[in-house]
Amino acid sequence: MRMRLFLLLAWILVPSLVLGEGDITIGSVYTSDDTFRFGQYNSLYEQGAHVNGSVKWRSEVVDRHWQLEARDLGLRNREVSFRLQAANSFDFSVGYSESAARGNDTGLTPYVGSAELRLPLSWQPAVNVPGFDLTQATRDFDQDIQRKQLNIVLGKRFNPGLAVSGTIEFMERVGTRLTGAAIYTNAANPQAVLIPEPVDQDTLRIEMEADLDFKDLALQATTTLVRFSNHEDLVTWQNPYQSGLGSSVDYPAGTGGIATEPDYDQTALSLNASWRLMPRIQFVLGGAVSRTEQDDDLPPYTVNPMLAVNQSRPLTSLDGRLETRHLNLFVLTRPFRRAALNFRYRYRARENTASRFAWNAVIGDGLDQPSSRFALFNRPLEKETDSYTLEASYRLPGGQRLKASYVFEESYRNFAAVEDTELDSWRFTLSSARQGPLQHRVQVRLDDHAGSTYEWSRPFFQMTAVELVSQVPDDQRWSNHPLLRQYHLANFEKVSIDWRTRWLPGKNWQLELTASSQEVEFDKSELGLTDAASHRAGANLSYSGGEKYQAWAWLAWDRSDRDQTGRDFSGGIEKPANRNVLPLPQGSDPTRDYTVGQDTAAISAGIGMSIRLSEKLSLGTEYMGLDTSEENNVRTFSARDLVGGDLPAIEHRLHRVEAKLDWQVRDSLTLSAQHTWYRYKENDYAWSNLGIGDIAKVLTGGQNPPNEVVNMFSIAVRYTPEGKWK
Amino acid sequence: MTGGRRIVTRLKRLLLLLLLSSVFPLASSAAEVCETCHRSQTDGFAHRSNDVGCTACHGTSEAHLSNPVVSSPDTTFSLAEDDAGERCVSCHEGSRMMYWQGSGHELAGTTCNLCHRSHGEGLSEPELCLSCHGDLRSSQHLPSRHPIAEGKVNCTDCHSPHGSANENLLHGDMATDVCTRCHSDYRGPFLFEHDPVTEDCTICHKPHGSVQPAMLDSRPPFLCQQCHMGVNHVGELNDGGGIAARSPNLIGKSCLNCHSRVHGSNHPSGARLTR
Repeated sequence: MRMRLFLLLAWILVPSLVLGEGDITIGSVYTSDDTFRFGQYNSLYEQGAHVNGSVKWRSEVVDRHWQLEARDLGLRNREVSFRLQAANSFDFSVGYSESAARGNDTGLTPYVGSAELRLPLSWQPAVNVPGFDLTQATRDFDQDIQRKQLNIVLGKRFNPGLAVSGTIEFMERVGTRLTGAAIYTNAANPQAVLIPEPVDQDTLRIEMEADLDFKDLALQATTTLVRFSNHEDLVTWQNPYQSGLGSSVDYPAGTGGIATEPDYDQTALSLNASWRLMPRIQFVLGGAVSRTEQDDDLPPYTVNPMLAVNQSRPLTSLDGRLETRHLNLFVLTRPFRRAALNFRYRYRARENTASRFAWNAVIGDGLDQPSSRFALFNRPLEKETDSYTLEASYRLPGGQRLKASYVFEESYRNFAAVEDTELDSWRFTLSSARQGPLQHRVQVRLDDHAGSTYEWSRPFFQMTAVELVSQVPDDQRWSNHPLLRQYHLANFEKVSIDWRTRWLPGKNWQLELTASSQEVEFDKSELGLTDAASHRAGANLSYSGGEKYQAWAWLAWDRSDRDQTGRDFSGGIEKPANRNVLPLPQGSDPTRDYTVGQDTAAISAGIGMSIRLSEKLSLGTEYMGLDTSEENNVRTFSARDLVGGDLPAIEHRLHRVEAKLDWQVRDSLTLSAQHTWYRYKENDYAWSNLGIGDIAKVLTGGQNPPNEVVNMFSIAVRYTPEGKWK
Repeated sequence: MTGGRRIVTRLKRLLLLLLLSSVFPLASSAAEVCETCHRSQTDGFAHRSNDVGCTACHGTSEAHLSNPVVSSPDTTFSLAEDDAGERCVSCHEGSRMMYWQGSGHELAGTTCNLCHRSHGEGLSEPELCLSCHGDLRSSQHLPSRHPIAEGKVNCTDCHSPHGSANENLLHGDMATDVCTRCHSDYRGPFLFEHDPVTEDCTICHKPHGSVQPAMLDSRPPFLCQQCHMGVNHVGELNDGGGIAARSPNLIGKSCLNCHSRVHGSNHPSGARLTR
């Protein structure tokens, strides 16, 4: 048996190796400095040299074709894939991929350990962060998540009408990310730390698909199994503070714990059918159901054994089940050769079968378990949406196409302040034919989103225990101010215009101009987002002089403006939204309003060219630049203690210049050299020169925003024996 | 048969197989004939691996074979809407193209040969998609983005260019299904859920790229205050003075300095998404 397998492989591979084609590249890449923005996704974040290589090879033997591709073999971004196909018979592929996502590496932490983070024995606690002695007790740590992925796909075509395929995907994510964690007794007095949270997860996905194709009928069935496993259940950390909350909470006994994302199993089944009733009428019917189950053991109310917990958890595991159902029915017709008339119905449902219980939360691992009247209920969220679309399209003389569509969508949500929402959407598109030197497309879209009665007290009732509800006056039973309209539930009217023109004055030239604008008015919102607008414009120019010369340039401008209103008020008897209780800051006082105008602009541009200097020498160069600016302008009204004032502008600047030279020494041998100059600077106020001890009640770890100048050099030798597959 | 003779027999078979393999033609005979003149079109011929020759699309073209200067092939193609796709659909139809008719690309007059090259290799992602969707070119370089430029994420990882049940040509029926295929840790269900997470990831995130960290649509605390406006720190004014005062609402991770389980919490004390 083994000998037969060996012979089969030899029969395929040996002549393939002799008769195949491709190229093998070996080289080296050098980075001049440690970075994290430049090396964020390309794994070139460390100063130094790396040996690197890539392979592309393919071959055919009779009716079998295989190809092997591998790149970045010397880096943490390596990928390898192999594919074997037999014409109209089977298709097999296996791929392995790694990718590294790198975060800011300028931070420090005093913690050691992984899932149980401890402070060093020499730690000196303090009331606030500035009181810590951080000079000796901290170490560098890297925010780094490495993803490894393995894919195996096997497809078999039994006959022109039946094909089956199976896919196995395994993905692993391991690393460290920065996570906020607080120990507190009430929201006004948190003591937080940013901890290096370990990440160790994997996802296994198995998918089977069957495709049946008949003359006018096509059927597709897919079943998917997903298993997500998180190897870290709970992350605990030692409280660094000495803030008088009691010996059970303060350093060294105080411990906080946060739960990680739970394991789950998901099973999904989808069936799709397409039936061409007549040449001009097609029905598409599709449905999918999925079930996701998780029954991870729930952590205790607190990991701090010194705190008193007198009420047990109503459940030791959620035993939660999430079910989704989707149904699509499309009727697609072409009543005339130039016209299309389509109707679509879509149904989406999310059902969460978890039970509701009152949870006697221990506030922030900082307090004994409170009375049951402060218990909070979990809310298994559900949503159901019906969407109806009618669209008509007509091809005008001259090749232009006019399309109009109307969409009506209604949604129901449980546990939301607005139970029912409706969306009416009209869309009009006029586009030219894809031939001709001048092509254009204009789309106008009008959306009207409306909701049922806004029940501002509903979330309060849903989350809060009955005992507390009865103690709170009617007009104070709200979690959010009654005048707030939450973004995705708010009434709004939206107008969007999108325009695109492409001009091809000759065979070699192409110019594309684009512009889009969107204005949203949240007409019923007095607090929350009230207006939003975004505008975009761009130009792309390219010239192709055949194999000898190519050039391109592009320019893009994006702007986004959002206005939102807030109200600054305190709790207790100052809380009533509708009663006047002077002189304390209160929810009913409009002079306590403030507005925030968030204006973001980005300009980016690129220019490049590639020139064949001679038959064996080619040069390519490219420049790319990006400049962004974000402003948050804050205005207050007449409340004397509210001053307002703009936040510092946040800017990002990126410049990147690349030059590459390829010299074909011989027919089968090419030398390449590349230089990349990269300049990136950012001044985000949230992280600008943030010292580890800057925030009184948050031990951040400190961080500097990236300010990088990097030179990257690479040289490579590419061997391409005969054949022309590049 | 002795062990030694068995080995010799197998080696002979292997040698015969090698010889036969080197003798068999690598491509269909039709393509070989066309190759004598159209070498550049048959190199990298994408259909070769499925044993599809030139005549499958261009017809038997006997007149052209006899007198190529005078007679064109039976069928030639342009970018004209009507004819470019029909020949392709004669083979590439059925379940794979189930959602093509009436899809955004189909109604925009996008023909097969605008994206696919039957002869040789054309553009690959993302350049292919950006050739029409050039307005998204700049998004690849924004400070917070998917690793598209590095080739780790492709447009087709999220979008189905041949059509889908979703109006934005997403794989799957909802944006959340697409995102949690890679970001599988946020699928849930959680004991305490966060409403926008269960509804649509794009309520808070901009998947094509953003100026904000984590591809957020807006910056905390203002993003959070679009839905949360309560007493004390929830509705608190956060202005420029907070920067100098090193307010934890503005500095570091802002609201997420404490509310780190923003995608949901499976902790009994996690109702406020701090655990």
